[in-house]
Amino acid sequence: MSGFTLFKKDISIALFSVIILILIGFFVEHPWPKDFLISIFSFGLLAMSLNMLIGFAGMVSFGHAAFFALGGYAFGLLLQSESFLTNFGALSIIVAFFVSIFITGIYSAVIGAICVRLNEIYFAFLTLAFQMFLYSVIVSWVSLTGGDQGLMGGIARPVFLGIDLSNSLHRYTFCSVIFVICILLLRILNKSNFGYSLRLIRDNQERAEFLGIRVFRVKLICFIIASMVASVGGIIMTLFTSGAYPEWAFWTQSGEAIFMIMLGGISIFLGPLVGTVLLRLINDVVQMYSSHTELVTGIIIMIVVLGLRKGLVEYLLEKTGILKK
Amino acid sequence: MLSISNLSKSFGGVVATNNVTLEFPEGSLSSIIGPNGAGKTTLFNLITGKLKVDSGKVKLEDEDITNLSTRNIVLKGISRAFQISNIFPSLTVKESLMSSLMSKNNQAEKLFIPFHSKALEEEAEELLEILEMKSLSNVICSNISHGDQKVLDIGLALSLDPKILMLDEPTAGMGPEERWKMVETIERLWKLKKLTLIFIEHDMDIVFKISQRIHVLRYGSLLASGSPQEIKNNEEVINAYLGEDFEAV
Ligand SMILES: Nc1ncnc2c1ncn2[C@@H]1O[C@H](COP(=O)(O)OP(=O)(O)OP(=O)(O)O)[C@@H](O)[C@H]1O
Ligand SMILES: [Mg+2]
Repeated sequence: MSGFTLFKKDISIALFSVIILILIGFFVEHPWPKDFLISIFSFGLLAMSLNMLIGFAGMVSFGHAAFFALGGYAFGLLLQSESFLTNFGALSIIVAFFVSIFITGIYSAVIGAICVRLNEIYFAFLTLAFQMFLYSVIVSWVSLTGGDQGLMGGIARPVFLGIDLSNSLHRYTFCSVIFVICILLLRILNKSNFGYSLRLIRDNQERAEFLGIRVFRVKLICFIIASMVASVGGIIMTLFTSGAYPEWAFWTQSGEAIFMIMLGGISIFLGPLVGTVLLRLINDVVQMYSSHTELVTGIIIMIVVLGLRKGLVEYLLEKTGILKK
Repeated sequence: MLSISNLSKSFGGVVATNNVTLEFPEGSLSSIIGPNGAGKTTLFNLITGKLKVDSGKVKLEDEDITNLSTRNIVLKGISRAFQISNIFPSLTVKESLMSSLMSKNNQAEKLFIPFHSKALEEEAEELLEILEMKSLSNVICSNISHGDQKVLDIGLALSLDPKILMLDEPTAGMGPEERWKMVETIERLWKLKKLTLIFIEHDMDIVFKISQRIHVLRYGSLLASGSPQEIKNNEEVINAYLGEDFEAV
């Protein structure tokens, strides 16, 4: 019974989603839906991976966007480097993709090893502190990162396997596939043995220890995986904007990801993704009518959180009786 | 055989465990009694690695297991249930047992193995049968009764297939009827699994009915150790704990 056969349903849903997303790309002429979806892929991965920490494992991080930013910057910097491009030629994108994720993995292992031992509020504050550290490095190391201007001048996108990422349809398709693979990965982890070890730790860490769970190790692995998935979100954003920006590493970016989770719902697997869509839509709509985007968005979030006392998806599922209280 | 020798532990000025030496022979059923704050739970915490000892030794067979991590103590075959039931509120009863079985099988860190597998479910169902909890299988743990939570807590410890099972006040907070049912369950499991069982208990009827050996703690020190008969007639224990008019069954 081992292996992937038991994940068949999730794999089928993932395949189906990829097909739908690709069809949207082919048949919708207007660029807005594609651009909107790419931003959903990117920030959706940030929120979904953060919920692996918060929702699965009960580790509330305030500094998750650091890994999003690191992935984006690493990817952008590699593809701006002449020597990297001459070394890897047509494979540059693929190599940069994996190297950026790997770098984030290493960085998050170091940060995680320090933070993961700490409980709740200390964990939250220390992750935040490390994020602000990264932010100040990005802003002050102007020669490398462009400082608060961001990584300017565009990035190279050599064609590989017939995929040309400067073509908007290719780029969109590429990003949708990567996005769905990451979501599927999170889903599989959520339903795996590892996912249940996380639930044990979230529910009752002491008891988990007395069952022989290696709490520190499990939390650290979770932290690293979540960070690597967040870095993929950053990579998608870098591909999309052809640059990287220090705001990605600013604390508000992590705060936004927490809002997304709160809007959609912490306890439903896809809740944070729905939250991402909602927050983006709210942002876009509010921007049309008011210059006080943040204020209005903040009020809407407060209404949802205080009014429903749960995420929107959780609320709707309970109302329709699908989810029991 | 589990043995502890000259075990001590203080918290600031409070000596919670004071030079305690004890033996728990294989397959025995022993109880630890004593007034509130006597250091009973602390003794469990020292044996199971939750607290580091100040001095003294804990030995399993001939192996020194003093100050090993909780996980390593568990791997050696010592597991415990808690004074305040210590469970996983958001999981169902069956999922909780499946989780601890998964941990026992050393599969808890598998990233790509689906948790809900036939084999694990069957293993959990067997355990549910033994615990007589089948009807609660799919109930979320935070919704089951206090008594059932205590049984589940024991079930979690039991699922690790221990040689030595330590129960901290298994009948705490239960009504008389529930109490005796719990006692039956404990005795049944002890015989079925051929456990070395150690339990802390305040109900003297229970203690004197089922224990083979009783150890009395007071102010962190061992006041007396012996068979129920010996303890019942021990002047010091009567004066310090049982009281003049104590009459055990
Ligand atoms: N972690 C701790 N930190 C400080 N003091 C502690 C700690 N654990 C126990 N103590 C103290 O050690 C003493 C023994 O406590 P312990 O919990 O072992 O008693 P007990 O015999 O289990 O009591 P009860 O019957 O009430 O459960 C008490 O004075 C208690 O306040
Ligand atoms: Mg106690």
